[in-house]
Amino acid sequence: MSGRVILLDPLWPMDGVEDALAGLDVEVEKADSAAGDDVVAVLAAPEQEVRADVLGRCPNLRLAGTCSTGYDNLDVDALSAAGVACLHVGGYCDEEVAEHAIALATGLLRGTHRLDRHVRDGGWWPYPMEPRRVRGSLLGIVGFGAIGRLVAALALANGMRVQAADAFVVDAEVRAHGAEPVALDTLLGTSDVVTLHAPLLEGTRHLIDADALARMRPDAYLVNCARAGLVDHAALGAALAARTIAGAALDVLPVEPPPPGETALGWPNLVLQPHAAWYSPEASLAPYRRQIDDLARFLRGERPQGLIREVTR
Amino acid sequence: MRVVCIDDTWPLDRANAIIGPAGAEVVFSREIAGDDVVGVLTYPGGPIDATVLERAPNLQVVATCSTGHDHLDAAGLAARGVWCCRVTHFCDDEVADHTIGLAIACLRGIVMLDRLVRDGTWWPYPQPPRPVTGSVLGVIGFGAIGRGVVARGAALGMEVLVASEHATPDEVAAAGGRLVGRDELLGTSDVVCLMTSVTDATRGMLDAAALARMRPDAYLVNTARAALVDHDALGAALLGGRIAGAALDALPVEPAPPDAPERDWPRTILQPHAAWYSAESDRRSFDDAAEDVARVLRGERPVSFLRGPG
Repeated sequence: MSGRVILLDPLWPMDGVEDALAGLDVEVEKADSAAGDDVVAVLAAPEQEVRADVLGRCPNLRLAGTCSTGYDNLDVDALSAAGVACLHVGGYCDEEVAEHAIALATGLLRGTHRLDRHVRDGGWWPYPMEPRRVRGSLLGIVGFGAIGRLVAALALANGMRVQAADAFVVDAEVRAHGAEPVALDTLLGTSDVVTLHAPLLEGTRHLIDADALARMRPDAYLVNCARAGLVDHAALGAALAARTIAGAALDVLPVEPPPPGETALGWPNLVLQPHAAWYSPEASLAPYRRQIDDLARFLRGERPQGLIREVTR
Repeated sequence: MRVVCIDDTWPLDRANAIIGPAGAEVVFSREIAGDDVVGVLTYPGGPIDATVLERAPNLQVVATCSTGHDHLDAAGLAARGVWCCRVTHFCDDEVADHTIGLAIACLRGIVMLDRLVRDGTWWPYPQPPRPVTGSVLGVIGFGAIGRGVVARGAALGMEVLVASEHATPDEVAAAGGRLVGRDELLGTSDVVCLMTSVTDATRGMLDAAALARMRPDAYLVNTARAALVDHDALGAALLGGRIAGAALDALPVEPAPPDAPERDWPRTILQPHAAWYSAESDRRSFDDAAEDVARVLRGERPVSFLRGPG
């Protein structure tokens, strides 16, 4: 196979790409969009989408990949049906995301961010923020896959009680990881902190909508280190403004980086993170390297490790 | 009989519920005076010494809603027959929770990253988060709170080092840590947590030389007392980029004045002496002190006294 490989992510690190693709008849270039008869592969980061329209612009496309665990940015149905192999990178940052979520959950319960701002605004003493005990508090994990299970382990280490809601995991599996299996509505109504670790699918889009937020305790916090599409952001902004929940920490926003005028910047009791949960020095290059290695496997006619769905062509 | 409470934030209804059955009424007053005053409830902002007996000659007990007792002349009061009480261990879990929370907040960069987003930056690269599991947590001091931090760090998969003059290697190992010398701890740790009280041996122990031993990518967490740290040296180390950052819940002057130099230090999390707080610990600090006053009035021995008569 010969042709061009388009990298949609302008930050894609190029170190090692040439070596990984040595001997293969492809040229790699960065571009805002993919177009041309000679484009055989397009690789994206979570902020770039690869939808069905790419098929019209790149009639000979064979592979579409995302250097992320979540692959909601790929139209896997349309691409796979057209014979395009869709790839993601699973598990490269599970520990990092779990640690970040626990850091944010702990920070919310202890009021760390708000207390820092309170001091810098001239205040003192913890009373306006009412830090809470971490030990003994109840963490609700929505989505009990690899990351959700690591979150449970870290929360138990901190002395938290843990419950989890996941329609696709049997109760015994949840209990085996030290968590109590519960229905989503129960989880929302009882948790001190609700943390989201579900993939973004049609069935999970706006999983946390106005009704779900209304079920949460007025002293509860929401953590989202997964995907912004899991949350109805207009409803979250309204809940924070009306103080029907105590606060939130978001590592993901509907548009990243946030455009000027992003309303979340003005919401009260909100901690914002720049899509950072995946990051550690060890994890920083892994998704790019693994994606390029998988591209090389595909071009050599081998089976890629991160293939999302079997395709025939 | 009256017990005078000089702290206007003290919940008097609960104090009366505890002390009332022992035969005294708790009243708020700035003045401690009268033959009927048998007890005093105070706080770190209300110093009490033996001269109080000139105005309240029948005083039996003074209790403070704090662990620290610099504001009480316990020896002088005890010499005049007055029990001097404080509260202990009412916030061990809270301080340990807050300390480990700040340690992982430093490693994951969550406070600096929030500031970056609000300053218009995106992506984690200016403040790259680091792994928690596998990093080295250094805990200086091995009292009740230090043990709680060691246990939490070990449970999170951190390698935990402990420096303490009083601990044995076996008891540190049992808690999940490894006893080392202070210099080794300072030179090895990703995060150094101060978990010791201020004594002549520990005052200013984190000075310029100690800070110089720390790794350039290491963080300092102080939820104990500001006097443990040479703040001039700490400011120089932060401004000079010689350590990665700091999280401080204790400052030399509290509340921090508008011109406190710590406000201008980079990569610094400031907390308003909050580590001790939860609704439960707040209640316990008042109720435990009131319980000891009630015990003295019933003719019993208080459980948490600094000095007693005789």
